[in-house]
Amino acid sequence: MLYNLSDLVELIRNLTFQIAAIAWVLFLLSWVIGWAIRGSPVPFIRVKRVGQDLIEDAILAAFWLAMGTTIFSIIAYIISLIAVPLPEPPLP
Amino acid sequence: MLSIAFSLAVLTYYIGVLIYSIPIPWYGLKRWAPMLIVDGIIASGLVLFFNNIILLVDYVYDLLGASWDSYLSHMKSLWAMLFSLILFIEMFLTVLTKMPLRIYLFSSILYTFRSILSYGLLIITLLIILSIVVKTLLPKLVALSILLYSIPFRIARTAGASLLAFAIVFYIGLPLMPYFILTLALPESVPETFNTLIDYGVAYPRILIKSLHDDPIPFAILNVYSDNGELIARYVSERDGWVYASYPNKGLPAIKEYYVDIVYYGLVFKTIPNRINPLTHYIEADEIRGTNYECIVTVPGIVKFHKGILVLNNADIIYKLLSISEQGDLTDISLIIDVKNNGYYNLIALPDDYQLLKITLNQSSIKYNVMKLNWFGKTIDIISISLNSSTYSIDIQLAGKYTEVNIPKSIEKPYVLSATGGKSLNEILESVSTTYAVLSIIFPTMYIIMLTMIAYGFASFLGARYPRIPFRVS
Repeated sequence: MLYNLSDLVELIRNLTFQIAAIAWVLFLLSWVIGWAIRGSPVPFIRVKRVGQDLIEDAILAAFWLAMGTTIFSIIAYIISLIAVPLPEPPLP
Repeated sequence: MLSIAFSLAVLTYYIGVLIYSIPIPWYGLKRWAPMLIVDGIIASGLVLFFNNIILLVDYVYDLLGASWDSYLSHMKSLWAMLFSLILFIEMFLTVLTKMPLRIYLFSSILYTFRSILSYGLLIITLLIILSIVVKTLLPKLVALSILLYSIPFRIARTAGASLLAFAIVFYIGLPLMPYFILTLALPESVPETFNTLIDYGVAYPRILIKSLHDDPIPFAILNVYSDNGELIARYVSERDGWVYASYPNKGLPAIKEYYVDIVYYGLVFKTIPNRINPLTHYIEADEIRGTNYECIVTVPGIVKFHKGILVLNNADIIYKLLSISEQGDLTDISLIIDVKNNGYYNLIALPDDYQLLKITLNQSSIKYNVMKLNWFGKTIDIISISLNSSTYSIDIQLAGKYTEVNIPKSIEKPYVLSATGGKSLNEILESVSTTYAVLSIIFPTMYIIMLTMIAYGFASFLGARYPRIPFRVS
C-alpha cells in the first residue's frame, strides 16, 4: 500500500529502472532473432522484411534507450532557459 | 504531484523503448512505440514547464484586464439585490395572505416572480462558488491535469487536456463576465426610491393617533421618516383619528424601524413610540378599508383634544385635573395644574372658530398672549401665559362652534406610490423581476456555454482526442 507520494514516486522509478533493464536485454534478443530470421533460408520476402523490421526496431530501441537520460536533460536545459524553477515544496 | 507526473513521463518513454525492443513483429503494438516515446518527451516538457504555464495564464489574464476582485464584488452585489428582492416579495406575500381574498387574488403573480428570482439566486450562488474554486485551485488543477496527461498509453490524456483547458479558460474568462453582461445590459428602469421600498418592506397598517388622555386626533398630519431622515411618507388622519395606509398604494414600512412625527396646527409633535418597529408595534387585526394591522401612536404633547381644541402638554406641568364641558355655544375648560418652574407656557391651541371669552387663574383674571398661525386656511390661536412654580386652577371660557379643517388630499405622500414613482407595485415588481431574471439567469448561462465551447476547442488543441481504437477496424 502506498502511504505517501514519495513512495509512489519510488515505485514508479523502480519500475522504470526494471523496464530499462528488460528493454536492454530484449534489444539484444530481438537483434539476434532479427538477424536469424533475415538470414533464414525461407524463400518468402515477407519473412525477410519481418526480420529487417525487427533489426531496425531493435537498433532504434537501443538508440532511444541510450539517449534517454540525455533527452531528458536536454529538455530540462531548454525549459530552464525560459522557465522559473519550481517552488519549494511546502514544509509541514 | 508534479514529481509523480515527471516520473510517469519518464516511465512512458521507457515503455515506448521497451515496446520497440520486443522481438515480436506485431505492427499494431509497434506503432505505439514511437508515439509513447514522443509522449514521454512532451509530458516531461510539460511538467518542467508547469510554473511557466501558471505565469502565462496570469499574463493573459492581466492582458485582458480581468479582475477577480471586481468580478466577485459584482456578483455579490447582484446576489444581494436578488436576495433582498426575494425577501421583499416573501414579506409582501405574508402581509397579503392575511388580507381578504379580493385583495390577495391580484398578487398571485408574485409567486412566479419569487420562483424566477430564486432560480437566479441559485445560479449566481453556483457561479460564485465555481469562481472561488477555480481561482484558488488553479495551480493544483494544472498540476493534476499534467499528471493525467503523462499517464502512459494516453489513457488519461483526454481528461488531462480537458481539465487543463477548462481550468485555464474559466480562470481567465469568468472575471470577464461583468463586461459581457454590461455590453448586453438592459436599461434599468427602476427609480431610486424603489430601493427604500425593498429595504423597508411594505405592510398595510392603520395607525391611531391619540392624545395623552386617549382622544383620537383627526386631521393630523403624520410624517414618516427613514433612518437617514428622509421623508418617505405623509398621511392625514381621518375623522375617527385613524390613518388608513390602505392597499395598494399607501402602506407603510414592514421590516425596518422608522421615525414618525405629527404636525397639527402648524406645531410639530413627537410621538410615543417615536421610532416604530413594525415587528413589535403592528398588531394583527381584522381588515378594514384595506388595512389589516393596527398600531397606536400617542402624542404626549397633546393632553386632550376636544372638537378642535388642543390642550398642550409641557414638561414642567403636571395636569392634576382637566375637564371640558359644553353648554350650547359656550365651552368651559377647567384645569388644575402643578407648575414646577417659572416660565412662559403654551396652554391651548384653538382654531379661530372659537372666541376666547375669558381666562381666570385661581379665580382672577390674567394676562395672556396670543400667537397666530395659519393652518390650511384657518387661523389658529395659541394661548400662552406666564406662570410661577405653584399649583393653579385655571378656567377658560370659549364661545363658538367647531368646523373641520379642510386638509387637501394632495398633501399626502403615499408610501408605496411615491416610492414606485407613480406606477403600481405589481408593475414595478414585474419589470424589476424580469430585469434581474435575465441578468442572473440568461446572461450567465449564455456566457458559461460560450466558455465551455472555448474550453472544448482549447482541449482539442491540447490533445484531447476522442477515443479511437489503436488498430484498424476495416
